[in-house]
Amino acid sequence: VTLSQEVVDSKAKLLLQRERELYELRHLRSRAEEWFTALHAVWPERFDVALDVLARRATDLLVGALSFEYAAAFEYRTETGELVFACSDPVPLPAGFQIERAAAEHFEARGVGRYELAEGTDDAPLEQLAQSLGLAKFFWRWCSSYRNTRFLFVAGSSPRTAQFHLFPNTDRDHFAMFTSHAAALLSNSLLVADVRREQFELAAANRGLDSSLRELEQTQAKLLASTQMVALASREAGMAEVATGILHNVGNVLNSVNVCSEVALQRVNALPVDGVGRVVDLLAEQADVGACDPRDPRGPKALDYLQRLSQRLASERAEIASELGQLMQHLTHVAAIVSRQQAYARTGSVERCALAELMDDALLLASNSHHQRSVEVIRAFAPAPDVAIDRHRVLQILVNLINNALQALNDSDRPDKRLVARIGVAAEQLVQLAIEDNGVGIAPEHAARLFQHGFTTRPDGHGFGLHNSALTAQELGGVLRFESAGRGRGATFILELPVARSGWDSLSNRPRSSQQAGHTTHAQEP
Amino acid sequence: VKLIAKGVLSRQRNSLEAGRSAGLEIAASLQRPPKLVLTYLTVNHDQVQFLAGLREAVGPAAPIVGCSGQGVMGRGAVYEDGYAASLMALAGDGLEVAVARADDVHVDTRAKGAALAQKLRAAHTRPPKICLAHYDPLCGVDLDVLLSGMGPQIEAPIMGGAAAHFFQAAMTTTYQYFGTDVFSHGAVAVSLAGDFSAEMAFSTGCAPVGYQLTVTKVEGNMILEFDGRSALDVWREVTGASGLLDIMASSSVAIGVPVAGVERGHLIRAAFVFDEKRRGMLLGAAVPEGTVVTLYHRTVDHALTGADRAAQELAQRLAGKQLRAVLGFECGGRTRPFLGMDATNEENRALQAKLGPGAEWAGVICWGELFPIGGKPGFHNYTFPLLALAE
Repeated sequence: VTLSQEVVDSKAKLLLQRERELYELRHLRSRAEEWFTALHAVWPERFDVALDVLARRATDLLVGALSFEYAAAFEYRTETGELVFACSDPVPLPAGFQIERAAAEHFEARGVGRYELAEGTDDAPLEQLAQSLGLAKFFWRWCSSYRNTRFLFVAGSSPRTAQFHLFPNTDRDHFAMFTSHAAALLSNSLLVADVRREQFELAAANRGLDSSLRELEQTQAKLLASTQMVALASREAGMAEVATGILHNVGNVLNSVNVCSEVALQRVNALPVDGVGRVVDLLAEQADVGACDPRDPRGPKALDYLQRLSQRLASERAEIASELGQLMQHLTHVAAIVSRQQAYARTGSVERCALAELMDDALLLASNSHHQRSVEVIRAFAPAPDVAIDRHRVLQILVNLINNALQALNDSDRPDKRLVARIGVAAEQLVQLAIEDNGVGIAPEHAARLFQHGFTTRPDGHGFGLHNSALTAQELGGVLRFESAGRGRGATFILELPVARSGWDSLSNRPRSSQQAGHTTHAQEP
Repeated sequence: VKLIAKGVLSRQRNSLEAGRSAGLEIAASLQRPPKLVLTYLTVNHDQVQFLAGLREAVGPAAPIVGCSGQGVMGRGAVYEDGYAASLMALAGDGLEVAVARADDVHVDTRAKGAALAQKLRAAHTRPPKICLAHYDPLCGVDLDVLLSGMGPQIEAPIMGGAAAHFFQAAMTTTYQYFGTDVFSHGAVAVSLAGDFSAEMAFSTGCAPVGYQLTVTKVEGNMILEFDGRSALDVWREVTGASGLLDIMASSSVAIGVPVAGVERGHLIRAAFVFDEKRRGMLLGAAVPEGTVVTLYHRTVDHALTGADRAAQELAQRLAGKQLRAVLGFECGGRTRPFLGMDATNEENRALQAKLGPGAEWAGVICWGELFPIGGKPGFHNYTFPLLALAE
């Protein structure tokens, strides 16, 4: 097919027109793509990116990817023009730069624009700002921020490069889009920062509250413990007060009894029984000299009667005096016990105690038991450290154990009744106080219930003693246990107590001479 | 070492620091004073500051020659935005370098071209192997005249390109560099002689559409009439453009100018300024009255395949040689506004891979390219000349 030159020319022109259009479209698309690429690039990888990072990224893109000679981003206060934040690329802002009021009003009134001081433009309010930044042409975009400040973006050219950048309307529109987007990101960044700050403050407040709550809980626990201690101390104090009162009254009565006993003894001793004897002797002498009617047979009988009466009175007086003496001894013993009980009757408190003294006191307090009379008491005290403990409560346990042992011995028929009080060290930081008897022992079927509240094998028992003793031992941080080979084969109750560090120190530091003698065994006086 | 080279591609924005750090990079790499530092900058850079920083780093003796560009190219990338710089420093025992400048080359062009070339030639003890020239295309200089003055004197192929600035509708000012001087309306040139080889290749990427016009009235580089009608009217009719004509209406169409003594093929030219007052269009060189020009259109395929072919040819000629440096002078009408930056970068990376990944690479995106054709210096548009320096 041969085409006429006219057709060829027509087609050629058509082709060239399409080429031109395509070229223009390519160019426009190319610039639009640069803006869109920048728009994409300014988008943060996370939403908690700081404002300054986002702002610098925006100005970097305006200069680097979009070819502006200069770009800047500002956050300023509308009322004063004072800058809150500013960044500029590639040169820093001039010192003292701030947004003039006239410029701020111009921005507020228009929102977005292109500055180029020329006739026919109303850009005069921006002239000062342009001079400060050294710009001849620039796009600007104003946006409000979340915190009621203003964002301002500027991208432009100095007089040196203004001729190379046309600042067309398409670029202005893209600039407006890009910076609106950036401003939204900046505002969001402020929001995120505020949220994070409040979260942080909330977390800090929560931590403070948690801390206060923990302290409160600790205080509450301490208060509870303190209350319990106060209650216990109060109860003990009350009990002690009652006991002290009782003991005081008992002591007073004892004094009276003692005095009465002494008076009675004195009066018994002062009875004129000896005078009766002497009268009888006198009558006997007179009988020999005929003082009595020898014819009356009752005379010698009366004399004989009187002699025996005199002897009987003397004997009775001696026995009464002896009984009174024993009574007074017992009263003295009772007075000693009351005195010791008065010493223990005060409220319990932790103090440093020598175990031997504690055991001796316990044996003494239990020594008035009638069960003890036929029992050999042996002290087997090994060296042991002092313990820091409530002396009274330990004593309660020991007295209870000793009484139980004496009871078990009393119930036994064996003649060689023996109670052994032992002191020893069970382990490091653990001392042992044991009361051993060879009494009736503990039946295997009773072993499991021995410490139960209310369990007793005695008709007159209450089942409280061992239960309370075991609980007390626990409260003291120790343990109470027993060993028995069975019925009729005795029993050993062992109280193990923790030792304060100072106790061990006291053992190691104590002079040897002042320690208890090794293993001692001796009989308790009946 | 007969020839050593160091290319630097910079994106720093502080011009003084950018020049200084580029110079320091060159000094550190060459380990000796460079014999030449070719420098190409985008116009966002403060040109004077950059050259001051560069001078400070490379020392007072190193010749600095170059120009502003629409963009710059280097190893791995072409940049046509913001702040960018591309430098090629040359040194080596086998290298002789001469540099020269000419001012106001639009006036007394031929004589100034001849003087420029004579100065270069006189500095060499042996014929140079290549001459590179950069000039201000906006001053109205007729490149054909300038080259006709230079060609007979230099006795070497002339390559290079016109200085430029960012691509936009209005073309205003370009810069040429000589030492630390930054000026316009001038030309700078450098000639290289020595124990190395210079290989050249180029591609255009244009195809004729079968439409011809006869130039009936000219004034210097400006065509005032085609076929007896106003050049602007004809151009609007041909391109379908309305309103004020600008570079968009020019860059889409190439003007094929026949070459004397060459039956097929044309010198590819483009109008880059439209003068509404005089109703004419300005080219980089004069087209004599009576010349029948053929209109070309440009396609991406032609551009890319042409560049690939040029690289293949160059690679074949470089076979067995040690490639040291490649300089590219790609037309600004090809790159960003036509191929787009993605395709431009793909094109350049492909060329670099084809010619050798180890060679130093630098170049400028220019507004008019110089490449010899038919044994004579030639001025072209829409082309991509490549110069390879090898041992």
